Amino acid sequence: MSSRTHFEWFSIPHSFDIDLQVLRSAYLELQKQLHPDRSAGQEAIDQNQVVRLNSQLNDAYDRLKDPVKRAIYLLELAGINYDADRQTQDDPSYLMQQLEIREELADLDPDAANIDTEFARFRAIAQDHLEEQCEAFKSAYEVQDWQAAASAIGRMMFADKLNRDINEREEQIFDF
Amino acid sequence: MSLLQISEPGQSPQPHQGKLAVGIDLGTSNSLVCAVRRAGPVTIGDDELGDLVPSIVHYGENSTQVGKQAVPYLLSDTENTLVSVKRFIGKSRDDFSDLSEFPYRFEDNADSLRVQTRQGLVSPVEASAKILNYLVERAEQQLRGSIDGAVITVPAYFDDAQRQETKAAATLAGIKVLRLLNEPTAAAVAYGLDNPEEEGGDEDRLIAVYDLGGGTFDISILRLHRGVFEVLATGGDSALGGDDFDALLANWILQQSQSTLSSPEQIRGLQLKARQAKEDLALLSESPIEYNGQKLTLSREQMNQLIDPLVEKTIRVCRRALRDAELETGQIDAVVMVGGSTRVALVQQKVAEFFDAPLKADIDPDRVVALGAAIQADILVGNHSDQNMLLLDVVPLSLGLETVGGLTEKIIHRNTTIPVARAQEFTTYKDGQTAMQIHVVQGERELVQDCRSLAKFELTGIPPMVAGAARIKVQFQVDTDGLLSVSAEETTTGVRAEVAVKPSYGLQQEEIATMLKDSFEHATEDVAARSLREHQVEAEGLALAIESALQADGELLDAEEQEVMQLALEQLRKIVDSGNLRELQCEIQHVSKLSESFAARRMDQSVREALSGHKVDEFDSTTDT
Repeated sequence: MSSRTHFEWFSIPHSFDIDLQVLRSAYLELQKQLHPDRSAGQEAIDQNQVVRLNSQLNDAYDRLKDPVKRAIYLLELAGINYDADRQTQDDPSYLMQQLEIREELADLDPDAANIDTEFARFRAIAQDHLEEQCEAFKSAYEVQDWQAAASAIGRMMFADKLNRDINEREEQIFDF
Repeated sequence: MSLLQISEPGQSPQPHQGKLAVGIDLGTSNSLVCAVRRAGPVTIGDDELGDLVPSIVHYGENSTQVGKQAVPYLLSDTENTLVSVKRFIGKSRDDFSDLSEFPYRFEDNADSLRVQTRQGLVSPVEASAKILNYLVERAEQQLRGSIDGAVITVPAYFDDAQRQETKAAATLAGIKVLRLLNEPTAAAVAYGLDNPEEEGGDEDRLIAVYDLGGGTFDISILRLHRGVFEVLATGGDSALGGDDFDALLANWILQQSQSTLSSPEQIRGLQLKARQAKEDLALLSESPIEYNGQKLTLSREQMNQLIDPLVEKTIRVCRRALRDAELETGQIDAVVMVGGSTRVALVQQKVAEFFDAPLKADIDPDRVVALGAAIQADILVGNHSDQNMLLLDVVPLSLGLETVGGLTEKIIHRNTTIPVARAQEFTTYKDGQTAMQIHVVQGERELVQDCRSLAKFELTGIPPMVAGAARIKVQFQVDTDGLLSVSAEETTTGVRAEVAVKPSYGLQQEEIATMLKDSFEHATEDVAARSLREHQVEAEGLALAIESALQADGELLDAEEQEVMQLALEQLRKIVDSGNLRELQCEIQHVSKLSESFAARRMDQSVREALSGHKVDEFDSTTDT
């Protein structure tokens, strides 16, 4: 089972650019066949085996539907182990920009009337960053420039982290 | 693609026709059992007692009463009549700031929440088992047959300890659990909202299930498509429900009537009054309350003010769940209302406002969960090999491990689809480290102390290696019941020691630790010989190094210290020959420790010599530990 790549589960090409709708349909089709509920009550089938297999399917879906995980996985398939701790960002203007957004986020006035639109704005910024870096990764991956690809992943993770920070700030303000 | 052949339509072995399976809603206030009959899912009950079973257990002199038959004892025998035990499931004493609000005598000086009754100490698991037993017996009488299995519902936001204990209660009641099913998911199934012919056509439909029961609150966001119920996100509060509304009203009554409470009967009596007022106000704008000889009037407006903070709290949880599902309020097609507390007008108003979507409550909110569970039970028992329905549920709270500094390392994040298996590698941080503490926690917070502790165990028998060389792979597996098991293995030496740990809160942690230790030691037997040889070499090297250091700089130790060191060396040599690995490891550690200050003094001397212009002797680093 382990020899099957995550892409092969869903019969989609090994590429960063995947159709998420196609991925999801394929996932749900597979779930309909492989979910443990399908074989419940059938004594002859080893339920542990079924659960293990289904966990692999869920994991494959999980790693493909998320762009950051998908990018890391593609590098992995190319024999490159992405190490987040080693990937440092050395472009000062980029780091500066990241810092500024976070400061703005911290300075958000909890009582502002437009707080919801402010959060929407921050999310849009994070989304733009992510999409930009996805493009960068795609180009780098196509020409097998692994260093540039890893650098793009590093920045995608920055965007991801920004999203988490936005969520955290929101949780602080709204006391979720 | 032939992945695994499971029940191809028409090819699967025909199951026994008409196996009996039931769905059980084990609620805080009421419980209910349902089954699928020819006409569809129905609740089980009779004319005399109805179908809703109050979740009350009375421990009498010679017998135990459950449900309606226990109601007469609520006030006459309060201490022996347990209600809302679901609030105590999977919890410990620490989870409650004030137990005096409950009219029970809890076991003294214990972490558990066992209640002293006429029939002895009763745990929440045992009381729940009584209710389950009663429900199944009723079902068996009505259905005239023995039950092959049951789907038991739990709040989606129940943590692992609460799920484990619910399952334990079922096991104690002798019930085969087909599945623990999340209550909101069960409700969605009962509505059958996935049916494209009914409404919405072939498009995905997005629904929210708002489930406010007697003691728990859940919100689940689902995406429905052609028989697939996909939970996108879930949230909640497993200690927030109608009981808390009652408590606020009770407090108001106390203040208004300037009364105080002393006896268990008074506590219970006030609770009942408060609940009555709440129920009245679902229909009327004012409720007259007579308490302690005084006549009070509570208006719906006043009640709304009292409970507003709690309702607001549920809305905040909805907001987070919606965000976790990456959706906006306008995208929700409908909100399914579940649980008796959704009859409160303020709740309906705020939920409709927040989601800006129509509320659905056409199936009785007290019965919808058990009805859905019955449908799932009928499928899981194998009565429908050709059915198309599929439930994809999620983990409600992140699962992780404690790491350095009391921080949580999340292994499985909340809202991950189950079943799921994730592994993380850890390593030793000290040379020769043979044990590792593993602390499994659940929750979203960064600090371990803010999360729920699920299990703690020590991994022993790790082959000694230099720091960072061992690779301890800790694997988390959450099954379709949402239950966690944890296993660990050391991968570099090829040692495969694997043990599933079922964290069972407060119960068998010692057993778990022993189990794990045993298995690890057993699995390391084959590498033990090699490990012994390595240690013998290490010990001999250590002894030699210390001896040569003593010859060179023995004057740095006083007579007594020298003697202690000599004795330790003798002891070390003896153990090397004895071939006992464990003792040898201990003794190496002991001698190394002992020589530490000696090494430090030698180092110090070298530095001083260097500073005073003497030639620095080449420092013998072998005594360095």
